[in-house]
Amino acid sequence: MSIKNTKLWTWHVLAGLILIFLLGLHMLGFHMNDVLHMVEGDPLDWSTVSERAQALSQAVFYILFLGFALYHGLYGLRNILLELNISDGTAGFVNKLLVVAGVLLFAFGTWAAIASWNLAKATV
Amino acid sequence: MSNDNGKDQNFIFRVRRFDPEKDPKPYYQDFTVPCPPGMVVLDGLWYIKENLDPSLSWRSSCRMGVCGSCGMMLNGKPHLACHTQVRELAKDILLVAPLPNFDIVRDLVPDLGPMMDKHRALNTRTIRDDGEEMLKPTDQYWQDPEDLVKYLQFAYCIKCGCCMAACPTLATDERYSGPMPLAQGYRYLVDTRDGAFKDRVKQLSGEQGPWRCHYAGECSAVCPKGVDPARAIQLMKRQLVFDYLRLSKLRYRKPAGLLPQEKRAKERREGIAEPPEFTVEGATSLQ
Repeated sequence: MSIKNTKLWTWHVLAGLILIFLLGLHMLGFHMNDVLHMVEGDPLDWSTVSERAQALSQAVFYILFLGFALYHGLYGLRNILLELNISDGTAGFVNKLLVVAGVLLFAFGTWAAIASWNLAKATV
Repeated sequence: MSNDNGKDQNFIFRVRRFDPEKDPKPYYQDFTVPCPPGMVVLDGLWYIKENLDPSLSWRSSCRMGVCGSCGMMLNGKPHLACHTQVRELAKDILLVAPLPNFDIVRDLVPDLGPMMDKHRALNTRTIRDDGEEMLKPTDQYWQDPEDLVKYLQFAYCIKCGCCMAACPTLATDERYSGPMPLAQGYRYLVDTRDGAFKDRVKQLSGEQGPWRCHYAGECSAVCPKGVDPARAIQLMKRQLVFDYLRLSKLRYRKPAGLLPQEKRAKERREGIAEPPEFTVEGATSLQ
């Protein structure tokens, strides 16, 4: 197989670091607001959620989060599957299947994020 | 605690036997071996062969932890039989089995061939452009002591296979190169005398590379020579990632040349004896 594992593994590690940063922002803003007061009002209140959903940055945030989480998770799943001592042919099939699954899930998640952003804008 | 009262103590050597031509599957056989203080497992095996069962087979040579031939499982962990005292390991029963993660040739003899194939496949030798100098060296290549330290401990490897037997990844994934070949791959990756860094990086980026390692660390825990293959594998990953991010200086390294004049001692230091004359006709020396 000609998969460049250095590239895949490097991005796996980088994606993990980026996820810690993005998840940290999410946790600090939405779940630890009582302590840190980063968002005005209750971050889970409907009006706050609706207002936040109208921001393009919010949609971009979730698309990025989705992309890095999918890559990180599917790469880890690939490693587990390849360690089942499967044949080279099956390993190739697993690689292709995970790429297709990742692209489809990313497309669906991106569509959902953009759709919810449009919906939030339309309800103003 | 071991019984070191100076008298022989009888131990049961419970040895796994298997002759692929006769036995449908491996089985265990007990031998009673009188062990004086300080006796190593290899001596016990020789006692069995000379006094109890001459058909017992294992591989050994140097008897002093240098050749790496007598790696085997002793009470469930990989050890060198010549390097392990019976009384330090067992109270009364010593379980002796061949190294796992290898096919068994017979009894305690593992087939190390696949390990050596993986070792060879990673080009574990110095590769340079000046082939003539390598074939007929006229001088020595120059290397800083700091550069030597970067790989020195990995050069102590004796290829006994203990690390391969302890590796949980290799136990389930036979395509994984394993700790010994990878540690040796790293040893040449960072050797300043080597000139094939880019080719090595390309090869290690494929399936032969370190990517399946979970960092269980068992390889380092069992190495009888104190080599740390797990560290080599992590350092190798770091080198490969740094090179991918174009942060590695090794990519632009030129292989070390011959010892420069300014580094040579002007005069021979006092107290250092002259080398003896050659006793073989036609023999020559490096300068």
